[in-house]
Amino acid sequence: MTAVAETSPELAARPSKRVRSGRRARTAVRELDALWPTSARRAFVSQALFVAVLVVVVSLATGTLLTNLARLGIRHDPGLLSQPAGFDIGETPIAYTQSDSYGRALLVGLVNTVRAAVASIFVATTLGVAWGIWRLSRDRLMRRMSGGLVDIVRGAPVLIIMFAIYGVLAQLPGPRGASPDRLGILWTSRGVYLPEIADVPPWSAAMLSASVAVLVILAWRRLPRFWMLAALLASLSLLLCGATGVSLSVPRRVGFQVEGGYALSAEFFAVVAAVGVSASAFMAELVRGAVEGVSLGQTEAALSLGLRRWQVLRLIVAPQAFRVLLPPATSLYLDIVKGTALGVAVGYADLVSVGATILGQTSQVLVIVSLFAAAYLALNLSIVFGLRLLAPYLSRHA
Amino acid sequence: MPERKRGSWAKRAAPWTIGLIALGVGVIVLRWAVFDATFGPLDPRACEGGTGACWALVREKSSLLLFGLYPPGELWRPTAVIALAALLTALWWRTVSRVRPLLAATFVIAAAMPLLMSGAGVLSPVSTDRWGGLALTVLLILGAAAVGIPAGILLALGRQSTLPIVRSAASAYVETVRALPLVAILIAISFLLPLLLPNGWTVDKLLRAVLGIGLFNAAYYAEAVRGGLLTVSLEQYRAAAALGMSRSLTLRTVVLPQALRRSIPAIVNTTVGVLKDTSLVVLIGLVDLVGGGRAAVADLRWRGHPLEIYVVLATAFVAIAIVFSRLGRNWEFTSEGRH
Repeated sequence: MTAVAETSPELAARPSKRVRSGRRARTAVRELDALWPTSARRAFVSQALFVAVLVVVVSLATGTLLTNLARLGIRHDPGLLSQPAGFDIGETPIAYTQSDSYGRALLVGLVNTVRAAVASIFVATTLGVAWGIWRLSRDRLMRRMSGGLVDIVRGAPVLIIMFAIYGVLAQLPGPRGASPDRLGILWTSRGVYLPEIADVPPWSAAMLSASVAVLVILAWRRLPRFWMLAALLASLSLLLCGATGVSLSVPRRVGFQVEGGYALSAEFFAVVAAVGVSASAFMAELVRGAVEGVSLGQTEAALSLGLRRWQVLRLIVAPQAFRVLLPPATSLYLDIVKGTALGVAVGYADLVSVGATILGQTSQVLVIVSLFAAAYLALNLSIVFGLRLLAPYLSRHA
Repeated sequence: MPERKRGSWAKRAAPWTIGLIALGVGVIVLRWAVFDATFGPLDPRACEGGTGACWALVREKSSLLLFGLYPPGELWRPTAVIALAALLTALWWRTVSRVRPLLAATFVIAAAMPLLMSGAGVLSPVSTDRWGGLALTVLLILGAAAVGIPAGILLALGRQSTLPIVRSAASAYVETVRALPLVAILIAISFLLPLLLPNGWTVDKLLRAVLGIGLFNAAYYAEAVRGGLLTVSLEQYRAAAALGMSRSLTLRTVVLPQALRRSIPAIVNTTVGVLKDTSLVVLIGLVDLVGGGRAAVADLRWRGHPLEIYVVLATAFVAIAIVFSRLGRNWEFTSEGRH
């Protein structure tokens, strides 16, 4: 059963599987102990042996490591992170110059990793949910088409998708020869420039944030006529924005540069597009599995009670499917965070890329590798705990 | 679904609309890939100004993609490796009942491949830095599986051990590795391994990649095997104990044969992941299928056709991945049917 469950997403998506298998494993261990009792002395001896072997291997490795480091003149340096870095970083979301420290450089890398991860998770979730709904279409042709696309995208390595996107972007004209497309987006070899809302007058900003707050509270309290109120508030805010004047910053070229708009570097775009699209195919299958996991009887019962199809989806299916979806989606998000490290291949200055540069300069392998481990562990844990905190609110009836 | 006929005209029109859009996209893709494409002479000038794909580039670079920089006179050897890999896949596709002879054949064929590539003292020797292309990708997958599956089985057994230290060591390994990106591990290994070895020893770049991908995926293989181990019911352990069998005998003759057989679909799935992971070896300077593609794109004479190369690469990977996952499903059905 479990071996099968590993391969088919709809079975693998059972929420309690992890818990159940964990408990099962523990009972198995206890049962084995009861059937073939290990004497305390024997357990001690074999564990001591195991530890001894580990210690010998580790100390041998450390010994050679130390002699090699001494031979190459690399000294373990506790102050490594405060030394000046002396290299440039392609993309600096926080202030950074060559004279800043290695620690600062790694921080820039970490911020870049988080940026790429957040953007990729956003792409994967929105695209993946839409794709999952397409997977669930009642039309067989639709299901075939979406399923075929899933097979294709899931089979292609992220790295190749990334190289392809980056390669095509590199073929585009530079900022000098580029002209914006119909949506005002400027595609150049250096990056993609999106139009952005600029100069929101304080009154409109206040109104917009107030209406968002009101909507959140309304959704929370589950008041009736939610959508009417939402539409009213939205149109009021739009009116206000129009009256006070919101300017749109459209990217345009000035000489060799692009001015205005929101700039996404080619590297960032390639990483997010590749990781996001690839993960969205996995997300689509998870969504399909989760929705199909809610038994058809529930839908039929709700329909026979006179609920509309939309209501059935919103009130009956979605909250249950969400609970099923959450554990595999969490591990998909962790995969996305790890996947952004592939940005090294196109020169995106993420944590791994900055770390590799520092490795090349200083050979301080142990420091850098433990920093990698700590940083990814922290990112993973924050996703796991963040989703766990969010879960009760998201799985409530919308 | 009973709702079907109640749908409004908009609902009924939706599939047609999406179908038309798909048709439009299909026409654009076909025009690019077939009608407006240049298949013709292996000359960069033929592709200039064309609006379609430039398959002439792919044709000229096909040897680079398949064999990398392998000596041109010896190309029958990587060809034979690729053919052997196809044979191996066919064997696994067809033979779902007799596992032992299948495993034996797999070992023999897999061991023959690197010998064939290196020459093994009989044929003219070819050093590993000339190995490349699809042949190298095949070897990387087999090598990583050869390292990863045994290590994964040991880790899975370790996680079920009654000795707490062994159990926590195995768990710590699996969880740590699963938290890290493979890129970071490959980079770390290529810096760390030379430092961990006594002065003068070197580890081949290919071996580093195999060890890196293999030991990384050992954690994932361990999870696959653990799933299989959990399917063996406790009654079987009890029955074996009642027959007076020792613990290791039970493990070897009762538990593992069943558990491993049932975890084959999950192991095959993990191997699809390994296949995709092999694409990362370009980052440490090996010229596998992706590396060959990178070299082809970088050719200055043919500047301007990255998409063609990457479409071909992606197609190759997708085709292999689809074959693998179908193969895994074959095994899934048979193992279902057996009990």
